[in-house]
Amino acid sequence: MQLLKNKTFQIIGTAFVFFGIIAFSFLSALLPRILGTSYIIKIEGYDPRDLFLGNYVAITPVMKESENPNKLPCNVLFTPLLLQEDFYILDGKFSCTPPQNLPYIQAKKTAYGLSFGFENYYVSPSEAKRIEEILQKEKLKAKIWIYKGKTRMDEIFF
Amino acid sequence: MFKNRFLLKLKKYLDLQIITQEQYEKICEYEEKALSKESILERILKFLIIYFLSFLLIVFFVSNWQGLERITKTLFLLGALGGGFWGILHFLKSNLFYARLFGVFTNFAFGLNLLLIGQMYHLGDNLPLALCTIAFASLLLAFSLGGRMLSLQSIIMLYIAFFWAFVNQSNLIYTFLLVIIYGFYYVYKNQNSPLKIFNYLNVLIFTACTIQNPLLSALLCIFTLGILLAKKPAFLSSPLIQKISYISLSLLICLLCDSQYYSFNFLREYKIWVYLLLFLPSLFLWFIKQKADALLFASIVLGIILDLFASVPANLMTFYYWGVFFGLCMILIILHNAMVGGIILLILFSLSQYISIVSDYFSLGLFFGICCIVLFILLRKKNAIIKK
Repeated sequence: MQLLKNKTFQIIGTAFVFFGIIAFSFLSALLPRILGTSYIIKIEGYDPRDLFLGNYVAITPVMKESENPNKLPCNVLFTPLLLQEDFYILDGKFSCTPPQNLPYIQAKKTAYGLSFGFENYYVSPSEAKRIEEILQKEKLKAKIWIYKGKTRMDEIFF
Repeated sequence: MFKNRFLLKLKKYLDLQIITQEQYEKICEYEEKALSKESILERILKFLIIYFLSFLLIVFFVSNWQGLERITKTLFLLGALGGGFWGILHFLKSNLFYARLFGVFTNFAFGLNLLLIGQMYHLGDNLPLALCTIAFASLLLAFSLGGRMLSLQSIIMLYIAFFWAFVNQSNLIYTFLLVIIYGFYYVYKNQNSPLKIFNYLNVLIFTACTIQNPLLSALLCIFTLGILLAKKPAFLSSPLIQKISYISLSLLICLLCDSQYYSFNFLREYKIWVYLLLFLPSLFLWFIKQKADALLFASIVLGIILDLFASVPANLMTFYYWGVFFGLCMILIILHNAMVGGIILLILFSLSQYISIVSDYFSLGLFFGICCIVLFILLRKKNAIIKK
């Protein structure tokens, strides 16, 4: 107990907690890259010009059919990836359990619709506007990493 | 500025011969010594320097410094965090104020680190969680280093996290309960009047945000006010809290007064017996011998019920609430020795009613007349009031 009241000890403990949290978030960011496989998917998007969070392009994956997922009782949903010529698109049919034999993506219900975990692609302001201009004309391809449904964005090809 | 005012007062005491010349000089000498150590202005300036330095880092982050490599950015920010901790440890023994300044900086650097990881790997999907982590981590530093600055910083961060969780309808909103519980524990352990008010506000904000049912919120509000007026958990109440409770009640009455302008129809969906529950606080107050407060509560609740279930003309209802408001002011003046506060409240209320009412001069005149008579009677029995 005496040790716990020591200020130096408290500060060092706090430092460990801080660096521990940072290490943990690095790990959670890198885990799909280390353990998962990469897929090329088709995306749409726009530049929301969000000043608070830095500049990013808001991204939604292209889906074959858009089904209203709010009918399902679960909070975490799964949808399979379908192979087109040389890229994938999302099926759009959601279920509460992950599909067998097919690659799949996990989505969470939020207040603003579904969240796939790669909505925000952070780039500089000028770059964001350029990507938006291209996205208005055509759909782009992006490389994502998937590990057990959890996804991380790698890069957008344009 | 504080010093000047203090000196003027001291000189006045000296003139009135409350203190001697010798005492006066001693006090002046002591004050000058205390001030020369570190003036308040200097402290504020130092705080601002740290504050702007931290914001410089955030601007760096927000503007997407694309030119730098990922590893450089990471090392830079981890270095900032490490530097912050080094500063705290270095100044911990010699100068606590500097240690706290480094604490403020460390909190900003930590938040920036988390947000940067999100930006580098394009995460950004769980911002409420990130903000919550930052806020609670800053609370850790505030506990170990103490000081008003750090506490204020973590409280502001907690509010941001709370707001963000609320906007995103995240379940993390319930982590705010920890803050409320700790606040009550702190007040229980060491009496702190500002924190009592702060707790009270926190609870109100939390209930307003999480409980969507208006009747339940109203019930909670009235119960809280009743309990606070009864001074029942003794550690929670203070004279200031009582006055704030009375002012909240008076605002409630003002709102009810103008009920023809607001729609209270959403209250109509419950049966009358549910509203009878609202009489419980007044029963409670009656049993602990605070009869005036009990009558006040009962008359407010009676007004709500009459308004909703009996088709009383709006004019009459307004007049009824004016009477209740007058009663509240009288309780403040007579029972709580808050003569000035009560009178100011009464004048403001009558002025606002005078301005807002254009057609119904008759009942307003009647109200003013009754006010005059009651105040006149009180004036005659002035001695009785002063004895209280």
